[in-house]
Amino acid sequence: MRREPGVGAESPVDHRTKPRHRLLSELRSQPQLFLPFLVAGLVTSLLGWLHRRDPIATVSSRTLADGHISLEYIGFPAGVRGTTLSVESVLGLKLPFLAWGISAYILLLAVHAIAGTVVIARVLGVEPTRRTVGSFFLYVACIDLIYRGFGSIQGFQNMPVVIGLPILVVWIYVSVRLFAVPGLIVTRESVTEAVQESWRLTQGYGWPLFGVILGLGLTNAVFALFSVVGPALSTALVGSVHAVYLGLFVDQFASPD
Amino acid sequence: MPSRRQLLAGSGITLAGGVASGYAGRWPIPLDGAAKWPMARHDPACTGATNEPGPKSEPEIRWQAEAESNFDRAGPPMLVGDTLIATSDRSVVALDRQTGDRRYKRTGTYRMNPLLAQAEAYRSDVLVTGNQSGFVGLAASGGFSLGELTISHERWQTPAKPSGGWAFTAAGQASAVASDGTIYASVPNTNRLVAIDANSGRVEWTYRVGSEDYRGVNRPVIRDETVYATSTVNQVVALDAATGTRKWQVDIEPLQREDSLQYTVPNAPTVTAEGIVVPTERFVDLRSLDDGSRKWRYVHDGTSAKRSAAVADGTVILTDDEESLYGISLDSGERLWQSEYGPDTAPVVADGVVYLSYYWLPELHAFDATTGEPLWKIEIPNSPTQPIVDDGKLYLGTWEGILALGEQR
Repeated sequence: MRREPGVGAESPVDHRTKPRHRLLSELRSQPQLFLPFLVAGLVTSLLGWLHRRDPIATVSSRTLADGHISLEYIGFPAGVRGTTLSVESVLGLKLPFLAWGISAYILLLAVHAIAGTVVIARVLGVEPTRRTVGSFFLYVACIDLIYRGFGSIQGFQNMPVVIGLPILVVWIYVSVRLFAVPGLIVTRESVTEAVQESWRLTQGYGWPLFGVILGLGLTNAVFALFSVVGPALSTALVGSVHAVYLGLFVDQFASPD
Repeated sequence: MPSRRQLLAGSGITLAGGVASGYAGRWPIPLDGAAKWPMARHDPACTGATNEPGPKSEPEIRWQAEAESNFDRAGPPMLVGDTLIATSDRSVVALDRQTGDRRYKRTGTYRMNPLLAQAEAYRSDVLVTGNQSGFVGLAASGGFSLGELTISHERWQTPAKPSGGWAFTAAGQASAVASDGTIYASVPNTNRLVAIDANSGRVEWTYRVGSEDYRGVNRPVIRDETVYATSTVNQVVALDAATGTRKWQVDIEPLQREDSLQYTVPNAPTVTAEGIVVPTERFVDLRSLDDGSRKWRYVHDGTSAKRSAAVADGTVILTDDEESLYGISLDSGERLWQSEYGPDTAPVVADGVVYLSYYWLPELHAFDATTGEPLWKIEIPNSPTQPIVDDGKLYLGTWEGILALGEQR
């Protein structure tokens, strides 16, 4: 069931306006949209704090302070994590540590899936369902595992630039074409349908969406400079902005169910 | 079209399958048994000594493995159970100690003497080495290999970045030791000592010896939860192993000589119940564990610039880089014996026999540890590392692979 978008807004929203122009007014009229990702950010920071004290090897994000520029964009609304569990470090763990590592990982993905679903649904004016949250979680888990999987294969780490650069271009292209998937999951409930629809919708919007990805990723990279509060702040701000933008993009361009 | 439930199940398999294959089954390379020679100088005290026997009479080469690779730069192999692990210029290899058959080979450029450290959260210990970016923790079991792709091999990398050029440590010089799940290391070309958690790779503490201008802290040693280290600013320091706080620090007293060169720059120490053995260019000191005060000094007038001593059965054994190998009483500092041996190298002692190899000479020498009498000398391939000894065998890396030597059959 779909409601009028922009519920709670003081003034009606012009749907002909581009999503990026509607973004600020949407956030201004519904500041409660920050709340889900604020909670997700606090959970991210708490898990990061715990991982810095447990015996599981984590990968600390290299930051601008290390002279390292990284596009902190993972394909769904999220902030920077500060510390990341790698597949490398998880596979060899003993059972109690393995259980803790996987539980923390699932919790992290779950809070992002719930926050993303709630915010996008609110923007689109639809009711989030358990099925929607499940599909969102599935997508988030797949993307995250692929991301970690690539990061864990040694061959990819030692890749020469001539091979790495084309792979980077392909990665950016795929990221652009799958940009709308999280938003479409909320309306379609099916991951495969959302992927197909996103591939179709993003045709012709490559450069603007690349700009959005660049903006989100680099903003996260700046927040990564602050190891303790960075994850909470970036998740609350960048995650929220990303999710609201996704909702507006889908609202603008997607055809009704 | 698959349903969400089907996709969810598929995703679960992706996550759980990888984990379960690592957990429920055995690792591809089981590493059973105790770590018998887990670090370059054998133990956290860096005695370079073992009670296990090596070849007493002139040995023969039992096998030579990985002959196409150079194992001369990153120090001696490690021995855990029946597996030898060694780093070459471009790889880490694990070999069956009996046959030399390869158990795994993983590519990577590592520039530091490897060591094995206990990682209790993991199902296999961690192999610690280093590269341009800092210290690296690898799964000693080798992780999983899918053709040319390897996963779950590198566990962590610390941000303890060395200063200066590409070379991380010079050939044969260890920069780290491990004790009770913690790695204690000098960061090459800096004045920093660090403690690193073997499980997570986190730097637990950092201690700076002298000012930033002085680069050169030697590999530390551990005894009774205290870290001892020497630096090129002629200091000996003792630190609390848990916190890195300083217990004491002393300057090494110069020789009373008229020339301006005092030759007090210390090499890496060895720690014993009687005190800390601190070799320098021209003499060796024994210093108190309590306050660093000097107990005795033996002046050999050599020029040994890089090598540490071995300590076994109350005897300090070291070379002087001139023409002699010495046996010095740990108790009194008196010379027990002196034998002719020119190169500057770190001795290894096993069951009453001293073994010596030198990077620039394709030779292996053996001396009696009680009398200093030469026992035998054999030719081996070029650029040998320091040997390690266990169960009648002797293993070392060379320019032409890994060698195992045993008494002639």
